[in-house]
Amino acid sequence: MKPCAILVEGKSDKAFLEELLRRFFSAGDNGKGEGANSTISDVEIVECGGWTNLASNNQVKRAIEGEKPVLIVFDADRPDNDRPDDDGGFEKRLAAIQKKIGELAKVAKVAKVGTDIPIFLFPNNRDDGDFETLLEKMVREEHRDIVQCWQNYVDCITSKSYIDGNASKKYNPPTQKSKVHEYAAAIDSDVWKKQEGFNKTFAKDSVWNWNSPALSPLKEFLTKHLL
Amino acid sequence: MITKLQVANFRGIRSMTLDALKDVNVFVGKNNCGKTSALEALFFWACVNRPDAAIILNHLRRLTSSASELLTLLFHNSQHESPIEISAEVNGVKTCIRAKTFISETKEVSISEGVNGQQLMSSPKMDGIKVFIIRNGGKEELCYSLTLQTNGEIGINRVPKQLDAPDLHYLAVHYKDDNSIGKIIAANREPEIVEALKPFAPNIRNIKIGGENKVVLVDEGRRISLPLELQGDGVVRATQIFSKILAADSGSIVLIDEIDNGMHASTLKTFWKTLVSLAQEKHVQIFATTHSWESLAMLKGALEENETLQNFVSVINFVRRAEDNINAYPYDYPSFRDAVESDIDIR
Repeated sequence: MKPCAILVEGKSDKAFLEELLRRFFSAGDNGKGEGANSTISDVEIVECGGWTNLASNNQVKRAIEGEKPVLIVFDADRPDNDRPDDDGGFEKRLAAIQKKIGELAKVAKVAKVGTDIPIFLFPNNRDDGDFETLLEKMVREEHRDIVQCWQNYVDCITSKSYIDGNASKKYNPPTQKSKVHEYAAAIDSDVWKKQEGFNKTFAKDSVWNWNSPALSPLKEFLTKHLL
Repeated sequence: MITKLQVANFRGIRSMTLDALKDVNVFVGKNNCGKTSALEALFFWACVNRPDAAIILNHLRRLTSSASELLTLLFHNSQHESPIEISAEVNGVKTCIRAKTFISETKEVSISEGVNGQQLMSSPKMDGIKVFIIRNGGKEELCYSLTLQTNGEIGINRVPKQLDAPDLHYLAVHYKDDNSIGKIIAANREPEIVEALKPFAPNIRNIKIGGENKVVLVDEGRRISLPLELQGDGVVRATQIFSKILAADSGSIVLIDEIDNGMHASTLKTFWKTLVSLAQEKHVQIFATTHSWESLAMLKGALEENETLQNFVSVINFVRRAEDNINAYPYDYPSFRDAVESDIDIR
């Protein structure tokens, strides 16, 4: 495996990638766990605290100015139709990240920027969505009803309203991110009890289906650039 | 106040630039990334009137070298063919200290025979170093020279004129220095130290010089006052650090290696708050190193609780790159806070 630095947005992304590398890349050179002579300790996963921090973030500068090649694994997000200048969605986000990298090239001390940095956008490097979109595809079939329970809860909340002063107000629905968190918590009670409880579920086959075909684009991307 | 520092060919540093320096600068990074070398560079730069700076630096590192080694060890990889250059910008004015080796003109070149019978000339070794000051890109002005003497000692020649330089204090990890405490006691300023120490050692009522060997004694209301060294390591360390700052003149530099050595986690937040406040009030610039994540988390906590102090601190991460070039990544308060809250290890 080639040494490299992978930039991710947050802690959960980092924990997920660490588990993926451990499962599929730690024992071989073909991404199938066959062979030897590779080590995931050569891969450094760097949290950036969000894609908007790319140009100003010291952790990013440190990775880019280092000796290892750099990969980016971020969210594509979704377009916000109410904001035409929004950068969400696969095409726009890819362009926005490449622009930020260009800004970084002006202050970075090495020329390892621009087209030198391969980019993968969750969920599959093609569609709109995010890391949680990929996780939703990794939900175990026998527990898929839990996700529908969550949706039922969202539908229920958004149908309700209350009076605040003279105005009728809607309740705030839970974020999409909470869908996968609540799914995991329904199976593993440690999610809310322990620090980093959600991130620790990635190691548990009882919660996530690591054989999901939805993982293929990410595995192919990492195979191409790590092996 | 120094706002920028550039170092070339000094100790473990081939090249390094530190920007965005503030009143309190905390150097972090892995072992052997150049943090202590950076403190030593600042020391060497500020010691234009102290030709014994090289000797002091090696003593602080507990090196027992011959005289010629003592000088060559100042140079990166002992390569003294290139000069040491340390530049600092103060109020927009750049002052550079350049150290160059010299060879005596009367030195003979020795000739020997190689394995194939060819004649080999061996270059004479250096006879000493000369240290120059260059102000704002102007001409070199000699500050002093250090000459290797035949008896194995170093001869010092200094220029008679006293050069402008900030007052300097250095607290190395293993270096005990009571001079600052003595100065404060002599000026009847003991209440300032006692006040600064109150959060760490609330029982301390006074400090004084006493005993048969004239040591620093601490009055905690006991039957007798006891030597400072009988206090815990953290109290001793805090006393040394705060007294350094209190004794320093306005515009001074204080260098502190492993600043939180011996301090309990529960006292670190208060320690940082007191340190930053004192530095800012007394106009003393501090450069310190640490390895401790706990210490950084407490620094963040201290700044969070005291917004007025946030702009006075820079945390600078050192990374050693190929060929000993050091990259430095400064964190102002917002980026430092975000990194600590996200558990991102910036050390």
